[in-house]
Amino acid sequence: MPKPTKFAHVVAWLAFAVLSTQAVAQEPPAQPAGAEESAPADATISDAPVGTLLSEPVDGAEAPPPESGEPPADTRALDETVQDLKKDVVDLNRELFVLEEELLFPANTQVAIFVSMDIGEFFALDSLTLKIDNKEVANYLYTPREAEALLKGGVHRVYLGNLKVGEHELVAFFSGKGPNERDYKRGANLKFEKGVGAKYLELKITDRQRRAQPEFAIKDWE
Amino acid sequence: MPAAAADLAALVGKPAPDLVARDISGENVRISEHRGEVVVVSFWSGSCNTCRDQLEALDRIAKTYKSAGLVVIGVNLDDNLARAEKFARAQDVQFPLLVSTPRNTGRDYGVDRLPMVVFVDRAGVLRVAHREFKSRDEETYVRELRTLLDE
Repeated sequence: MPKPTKFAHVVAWLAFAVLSTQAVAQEPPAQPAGAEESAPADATISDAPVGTLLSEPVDGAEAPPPESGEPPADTRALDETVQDLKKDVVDLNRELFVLEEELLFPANTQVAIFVSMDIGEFFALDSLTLKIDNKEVANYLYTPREAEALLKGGVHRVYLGNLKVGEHELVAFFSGKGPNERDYKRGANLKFEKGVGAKYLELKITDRQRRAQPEFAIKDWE
Repeated sequence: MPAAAADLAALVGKPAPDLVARDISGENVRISEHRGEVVVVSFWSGSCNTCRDQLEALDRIAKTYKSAGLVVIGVNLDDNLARAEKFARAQDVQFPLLVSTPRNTGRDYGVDRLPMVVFVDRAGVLRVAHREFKSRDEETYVRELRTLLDE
């Protein structure tokens, strides 16, 4: 059998292309007007006007109702599953955090120390050193952003640890800029009784307007 | 592989250790405060000449990409504070140079030679680490930082 020439191939391909185009033009819409997914099966890129998505109807087919921009149902279901999973992870993370805190710092030995600031006209906090029973337990440098957050009413937990039941002493050293931008370092101390429950102490920095000086106090939250 | 190098390799892909220290202007700088930005941490010492070239290169990059969310922080690892301060004051760079850094900083970041630089992505993950510095490295830095800034 003689081999078909290149020319024969081209002619056959052209004939097929012409017949296909006619078939598309004559074929009625596959589904009634307004039905979804009305794009003919034979639609090709060349059939569609520029800028038209292939899933949209071409010649002869009526446009489907305008889409609301919602993704297909299976994508929505997948999104919901992912969101549920994310929520589960967040919940689990929170539970683990609480569990970790309960294990590391049980309520009967827990001591938490917070820092708060009021006004701050006479003192700009730079750093804080904490000693409990003469042992340094925390040393914290405050960035301008953190100091600003304190001035806006934020409360910072600077230390979380464990202590035995009994009497203890807390000493706090504050350093920063005092009145007239001078380096300022002050201390405050408190003897407190640690009971069987958790102990919360607050280091309060306030302004004493009458003396134009900052004031440092430690408050024991019973 | 030396221990420090192995430590550094192990850090890549993990959250960058937090670091807070005072810069030469007396302001405290904390790395974790820059979450959401791409952070370049350059470790230097007052006795390291190549560090100067690296800081200059990073300053050029910082000026170009600052508006895109790039933050550069220089961290001193020199025990001699006077020398470190003198070195820091001699640098004409726009970014903070932290001088009195905590003792554990070098160990936390697996620094075994200077200069060393690490890139931390917007999520706070240490993504890239480079030891030493050659002038052609600036191009590599830019390419890698652009990738991180685009994320």
